[in-house]
Amino acid sequence: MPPRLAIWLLAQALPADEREFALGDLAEEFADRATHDGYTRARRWYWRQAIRSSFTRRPRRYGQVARPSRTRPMTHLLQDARFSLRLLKRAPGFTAVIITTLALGIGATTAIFSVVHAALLKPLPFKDPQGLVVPTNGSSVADSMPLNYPQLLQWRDDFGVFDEVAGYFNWSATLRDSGDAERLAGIRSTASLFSVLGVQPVVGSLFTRADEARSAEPIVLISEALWKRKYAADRSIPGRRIILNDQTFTIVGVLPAWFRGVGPTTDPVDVFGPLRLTEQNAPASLNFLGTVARLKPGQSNVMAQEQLQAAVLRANPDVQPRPRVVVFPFRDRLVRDSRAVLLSLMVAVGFLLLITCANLANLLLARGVGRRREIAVRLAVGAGRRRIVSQLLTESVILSAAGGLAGVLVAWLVIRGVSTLPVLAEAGIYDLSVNWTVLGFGFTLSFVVGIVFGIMPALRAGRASVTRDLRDGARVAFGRDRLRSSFVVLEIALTLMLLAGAGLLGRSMASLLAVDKGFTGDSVLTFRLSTSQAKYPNSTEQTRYFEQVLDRLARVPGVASAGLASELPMAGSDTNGGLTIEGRTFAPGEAPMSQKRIVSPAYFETLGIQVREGRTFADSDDGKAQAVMVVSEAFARRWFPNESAVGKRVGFNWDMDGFQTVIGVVADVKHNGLDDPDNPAVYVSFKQRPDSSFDVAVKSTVPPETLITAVRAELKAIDPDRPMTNVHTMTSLLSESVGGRRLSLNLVGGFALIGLLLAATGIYGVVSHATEQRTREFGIRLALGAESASVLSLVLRQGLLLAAIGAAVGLIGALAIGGVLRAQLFGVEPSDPLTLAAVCAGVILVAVVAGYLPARRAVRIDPATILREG
Amino acid sequence: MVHNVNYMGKLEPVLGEFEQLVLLALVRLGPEAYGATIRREIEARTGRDLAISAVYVTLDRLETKGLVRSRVGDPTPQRGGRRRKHFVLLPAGRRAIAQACRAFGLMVEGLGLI
Repeated sequence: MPPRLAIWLLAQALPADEREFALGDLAEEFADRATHDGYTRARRWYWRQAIRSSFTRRPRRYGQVARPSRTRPMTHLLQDARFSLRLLKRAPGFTAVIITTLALGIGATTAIFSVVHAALLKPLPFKDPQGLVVPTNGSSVADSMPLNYPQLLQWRDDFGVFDEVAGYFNWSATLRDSGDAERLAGIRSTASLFSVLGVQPVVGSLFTRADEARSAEPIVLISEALWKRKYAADRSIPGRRIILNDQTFTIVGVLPAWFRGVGPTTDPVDVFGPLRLTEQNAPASLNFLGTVARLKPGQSNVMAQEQLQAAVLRANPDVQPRPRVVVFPFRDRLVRDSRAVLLSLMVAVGFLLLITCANLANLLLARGVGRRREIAVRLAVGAGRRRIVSQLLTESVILSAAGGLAGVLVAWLVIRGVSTLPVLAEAGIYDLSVNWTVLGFGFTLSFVVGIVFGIMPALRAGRASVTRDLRDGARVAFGRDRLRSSFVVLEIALTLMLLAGAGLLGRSMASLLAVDKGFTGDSVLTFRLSTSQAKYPNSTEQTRYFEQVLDRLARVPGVASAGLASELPMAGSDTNGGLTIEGRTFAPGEAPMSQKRIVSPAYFETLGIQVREGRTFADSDDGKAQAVMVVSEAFARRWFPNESAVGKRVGFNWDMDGFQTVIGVVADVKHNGLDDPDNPAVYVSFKQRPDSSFDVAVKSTVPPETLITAVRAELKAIDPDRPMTNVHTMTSLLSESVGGRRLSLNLVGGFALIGLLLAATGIYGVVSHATEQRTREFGIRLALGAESASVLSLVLRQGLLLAAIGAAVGLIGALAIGGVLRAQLFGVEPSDPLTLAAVCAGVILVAVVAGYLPARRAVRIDPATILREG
Repeated sequence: MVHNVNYMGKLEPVLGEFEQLVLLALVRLGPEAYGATIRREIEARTGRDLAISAVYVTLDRLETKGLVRSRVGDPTPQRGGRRRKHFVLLPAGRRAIAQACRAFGLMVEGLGLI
């Protein structure tokens, strides 16, 4: 049996006197082919026949002016489609411009909306994500501070504010199995984490509260990715022992692939272990636990915050300052600061879609004007208005559909291109795919615009006088192109706003890159090294290990110097805390807060951090010597404004007792990003304040990447089980730190350029159309002795007027919505006059160029020809 | 004057390329000629994959020109109970295709193209 749909289609398409025989022939041949070539190929053949036969050109017979209304509507439709395709083929430029415009507009909109949707609107992959909140210390999302262990226990077990509370902290584990040691990202959490988030193991079981005890047997869960990569997805894995950080753990289960960790992370988490904390190793002074909780049914996060605040105040009646808590939706923690970027991108892409539609409308209107004569002819020979409308409608639908399909392709390509960017992972976007709702929206919008402006000429044709149109052809404009002009003004205004946005982002980027970051990042290799509790149980051994590392690294050829820091700038982590100053007391909440770093003596030299006063650490500043400290300029300025900080005594208050003597002041370092304010920072030496892991910076005289092999070999010689992790160059860290900004600058800039291009075609179209219509007038003017320059300026003025009005509207718009960008700007105001002026000038320049091309044509008119053809 | 009008009527119709193919297929197929066989014959010999309705449009035109005649046959189950439309070459059609072939042969002769 041939495909029924194809038969139906053919039955609609074929004329009555041919239908039966042709269908019969095809049925006969189909049966034949099905036996010889197989059913699939026969079907394919039948479909090809059906489609081609539907589009076969049929000569009209004489005397058949208009088809009788009995003809099936499908025949009309196919006829219209045929005619439209022919027309579109005849105007390839027009067709290409429309399809490209739509493809860019719909494609870009869909791609960006999909990203925004995935980040802000799409339900999280967790169970009942609306009920997930983050309860923590602080007064808002921005200044929230993690919990300490006693707090976690209290909030989880005593308060009863939430259904369930889970705590976790990031962990990194060196896996020694077969081959080289491998560094894995991990988290250690309460057992409740999995029930709060609704995670079930793929294989084996989860851990329980009993496993959280320090005395319990060490167990871990592993990720599905690790399970597949290392253990060939062996289903009998529970019970297997692995060595993490030189300690034996038993694998109890495998977690599903979609569960990649709790917070925003670039490295998916591979190992999940129970907390195993005690009040001794996690005292109240250490705030390091992230939290996530599930609200009770019917509870809002505001209610939960009030209840939690009350409970905390009740439990700590004497603590000053009064502790503050905040409860915010879990999604806010995932999206963090990318929300502003995403929203401004959404605005930008919305503008692009509007520009696209305005341009589409403009092009279709222009085309409609050009077809007035054709329509008049068809009306004159007896075509019904409905037939003409349906013809134009078909044309619009075909164009919109083609553009829409191209848009799908663009969206798909863009999404495939950006889905691997680390920026997305940092923004907590779990899975990115084309958003069909948005695609449908863009598609529908372009359809509506296409249809409305596509049939406008037909509707107008009914009003206009057929005889006049026939006589004058397409020479006389209707009205003064006011509608088209307003679309051009709209396009220019929107483009100006986009350009202004791009300009502001560009200037921010420039001032950001020019900022004095306080250190030099050229030729610096960075990585992290960690010791393990099992192999380096005390601080003496830890320090000895790192001393050996520095010693051997300094001797590698090509290494200028090597330094340690608890956290390197731009590496993504930071430690902050309160300090004490000898001889001063502070009101609650007024105590000095500062970034705290533990560094090696050569650190300042390695990163080129300038010494402003005094000295930095020497090798002799060790455990036996006087405890010393180096402070940053901002710290010295803030706390010792009119005196020298050197010689003062400050308490580091992080595993160091008493006060340390300030021996020097160094330049401020932008630690968390180039847009960081000059935060106060204090440094102590790793010889006086040992630690188990450090970031290492190696300044080289050769390209830093070339050192990696040699450095790795040296490290292996000291201890093969301490792999270097997070290997980067300082240059790449710096570049990554502005990655999000660069992406949004590129996107907004790209949109602005597309918009500018579309607006330019709009101006060109309107001006050239108006010029064509006034050709006669220009001819007469020239014949009467007008200077060609004056005609030129006459035409140019029209384009300029549109540009000026558009620019004015756009300027007002840009000032009005500049606030959207404020969060992303750096060193420049949203109303920056220089940017706005430059953008206006740019738009007007483009308008002049777009108007000049048709204007030049106008003055080249030969008056004699025009007057003769009159 | 009358003579002239008659002359107009006797003028051999000019055949398009596709019309020639269809007429030649009719010559080859004889009584077996109807839509499907004509389509297949041309496809098999020239390798041109034709749409069935293109064949019908041409046959329709040839019938209007008085070169072929059609006859409706009986319905068959193989065709889903639809009837066949058989086509027969009329003497004028035979003359026209012969004329076209002759002209073509004369033009091709000695060029070494085939």
